[in-house]
Amino acid sequence: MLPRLKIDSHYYDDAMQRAAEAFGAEPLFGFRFDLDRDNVPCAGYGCADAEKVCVCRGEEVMTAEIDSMDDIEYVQYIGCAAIEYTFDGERYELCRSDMKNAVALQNTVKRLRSLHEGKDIGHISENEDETACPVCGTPYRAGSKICPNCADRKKLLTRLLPVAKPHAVPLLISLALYFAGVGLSIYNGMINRTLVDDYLHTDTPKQEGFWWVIAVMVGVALFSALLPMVRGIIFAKVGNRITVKLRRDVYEKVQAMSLSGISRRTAGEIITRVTSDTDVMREFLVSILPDVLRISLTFIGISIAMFIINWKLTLMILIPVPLIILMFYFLRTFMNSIYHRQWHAEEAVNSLLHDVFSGIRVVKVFGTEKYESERFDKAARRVRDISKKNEVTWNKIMPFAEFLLGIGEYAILFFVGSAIIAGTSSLGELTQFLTYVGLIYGPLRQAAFLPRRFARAMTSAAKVFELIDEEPDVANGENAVDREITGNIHFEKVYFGYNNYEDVLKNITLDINKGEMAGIVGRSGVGKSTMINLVMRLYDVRSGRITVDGVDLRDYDQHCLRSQIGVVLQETYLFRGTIYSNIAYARPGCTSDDVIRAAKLANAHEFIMRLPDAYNTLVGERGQTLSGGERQRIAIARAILRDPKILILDEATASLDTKTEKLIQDALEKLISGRTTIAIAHRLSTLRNATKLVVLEKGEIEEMGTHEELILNKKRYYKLVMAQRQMSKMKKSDTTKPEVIK
Amino acid sequence: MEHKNDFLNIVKIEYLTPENAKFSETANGFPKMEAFIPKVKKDDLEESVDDTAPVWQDLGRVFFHRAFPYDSAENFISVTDKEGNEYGLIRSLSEFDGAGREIIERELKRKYYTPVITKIKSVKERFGYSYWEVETESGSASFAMHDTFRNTAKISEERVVLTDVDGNRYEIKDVFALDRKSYRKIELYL
Repeated sequence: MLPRLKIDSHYYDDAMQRAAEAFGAEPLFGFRFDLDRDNVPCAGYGCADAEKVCVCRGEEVMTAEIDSMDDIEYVQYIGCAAIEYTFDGERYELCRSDMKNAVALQNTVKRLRSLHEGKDIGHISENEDETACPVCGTPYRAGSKICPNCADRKKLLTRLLPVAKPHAVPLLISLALYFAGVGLSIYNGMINRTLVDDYLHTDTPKQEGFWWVIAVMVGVALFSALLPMVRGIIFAKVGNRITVKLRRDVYEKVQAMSLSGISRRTAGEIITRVTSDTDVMREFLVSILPDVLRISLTFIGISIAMFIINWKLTLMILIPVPLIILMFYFLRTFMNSIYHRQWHAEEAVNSLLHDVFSGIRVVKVFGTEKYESERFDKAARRVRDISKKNEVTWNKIMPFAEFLLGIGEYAILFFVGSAIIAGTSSLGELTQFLTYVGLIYGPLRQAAFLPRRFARAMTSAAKVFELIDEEPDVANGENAVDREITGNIHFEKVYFGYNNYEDVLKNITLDINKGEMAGIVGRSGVGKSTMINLVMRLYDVRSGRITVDGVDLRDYDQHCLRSQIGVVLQETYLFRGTIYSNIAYARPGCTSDDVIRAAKLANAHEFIMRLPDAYNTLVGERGQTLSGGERQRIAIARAILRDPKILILDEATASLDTKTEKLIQDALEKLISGRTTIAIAHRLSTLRNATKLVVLEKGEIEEMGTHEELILNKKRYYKLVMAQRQMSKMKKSDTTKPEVIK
Repeated sequence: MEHKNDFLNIVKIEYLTPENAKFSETANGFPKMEAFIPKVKKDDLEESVDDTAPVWQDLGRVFFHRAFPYDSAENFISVTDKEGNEYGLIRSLSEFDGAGREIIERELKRKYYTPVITKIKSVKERFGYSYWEVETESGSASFAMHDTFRNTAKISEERVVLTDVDGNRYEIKDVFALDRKSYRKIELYL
């Protein structure tokens, strides 16, 4: 068999059958894999029950006793993955696959491990490991069971319309106005005919009523002008409301998104989606869609009127219409793709700008302004090139299309003209027909621009809905608990990993009681911050559970939970606004009295009062006018004002000088008393008040106890303390040196 | 102005060469290494040994990781333990020959699986997803990409790596060398 990436399902069936024969019993579960040891594509199938696992790869079949397999592991390579295990002291590879079956392999490892430990893995449903949609074969996205293909079948249009639903009444009124408009156009044609046949081009021109005909024509023209005006006003009102609603929806969605969802995208991209994409969607609803309506109504109405007068001629006029529509169809797909490109290029420029201005200090310090200018220049030139190319293409196609559209009018002139010469038709009829043809081909001409606008709108809509459709990783339960907590945190055999196969935290069991201060110690990357992320429920645990006051975190209302947790991080972000508003941010609606008290407790009042504008001092976009220590004290004031039941300190004093640290330590001590506190610190002296110290190593708790206990233990904590003492001694001797010289 | 950075010399890169590193295979074909390097500390809590004199030691199974997987796949290959702690760097694969080189190359091939696209048969785009039908050096393949533009990594002017929804990678060595129809299909995402 030739190596093939796309393996027909019957090869799998073969492998499955061979595996089943070799297995000889009813398997608990099966899994597919599609690479051999040397990454050559093959059809592979494996199955297992409580005793043994059997894999079949091409002709090769292998069975292993699960009891004798130790350290079963999922190994992630680059673009492929494998299952490995130890047997009799030797390492073996069980099977290997590309990333298509990665989830299945991860689940297999999980199950094999459980079976090895003698646990019951329960019933496994047939499609649990299915990584591709059973309907269309499209692979699922990691961790999701929604087929992007089938779920999105529902046309964007049907998604867009409900957005306009609350504004149905004004929109229906405008629809009625459209009807009136079409009626007026048809009536206008009839008057034209009367004017020519009865008054102008006849041997016996009528005298009476001529001024009346003119008056009716003026009236029709006036109404034709008034109708669009009313429509315009309605659409302006409705359109703005729709934009606001859409923007709010997208914005709320962005806020509700989990951290991982947000950090996947650049800020610039999210901004584009919130602002310009929603605007294009509004344009679709209040401009493009009405245009489509107007054009089709006019087209149908006029066609009917013409049919009644002269159906043969009408058919002749309508014959080129399918051709024109066909032309539009190809134009649309073509334009869709080229505008997509323009969108990407424009977004690249936006992202670049955002990137550079966020890091403007780095740019200045390293003196790379020129390099950045060139980078921007390059991106801007790309937009220019693409949009130039698009415009050129557009302008090449359009005049030709316009010409084709005009051909119909000449055809009429020819046919009706011949009829007039032959005496079977009147000049009035020609006038009427020419009026109608103008009315029918006019909208078709406008319709030529619709694909372009349509494509733009659909691209934007797809991008906005993509964001709206994103399922939050962390969701509120059905009966979310909303109550005041006292602050007893309990970790119960918690396992967690940012991906499915690698645990950052393993078997963490830990009690932090009300009022206790737990210090988490360990080297960087060991899972300290992950632990507090879990307490704040920015992520959900993979197995085990975390309870607060005996209730699982997942059963709390997220807002309720987080509103009772206060956080002081290493870096504090201050919003643009005054110091006052930044502190009051923690508890909207608090009094000035509260804010000043909080600032005093945080040792911030003093430095704030030294500023010319005191509490009304504006802090810049990143609070750049304040020092790190000052910002930190504002953050503590925030936390104090919040009066949280659980306090989290993540390296809160890491970036400060000794004197400021002392101030902040004092402030923190006031804050900590009586609250459940979890603190992370590299500098162990920061944790001297901790009632419990937890030493993490490789995602597991290595040691736990009070400072004294751990010192007596003489293990990792002891060594860390000794090492840091050594360091501080060295520092001291450094500072004393000059005095010695004196 | 020519700038010479002597400061960088305070750190030394442990280079692994055929002279100080011997690669062989375990019974099941996993690479292992014996190397003549300073004694490797298995745990950072061990009393620090100031002795940096190299000794021959059997390090057991080793893992490889390319420092520049895109820019220069054959150079600067890190040799690590299971946790990713580095024993040393191979400056260039070409320094090795014979069985040792074979072992390294085989393991690299096992670790990095990136089918090379030779032809693009069709690309269909729908609502933020694109569906690809391609020919690769090891047969035809079809895959779906999400947020296609973002997941099309432009390694250089001509080299592109596509990452599909599952995390599989597909490489196009030179987009300009593709046939015209294929190029037109990917042009949109470049």
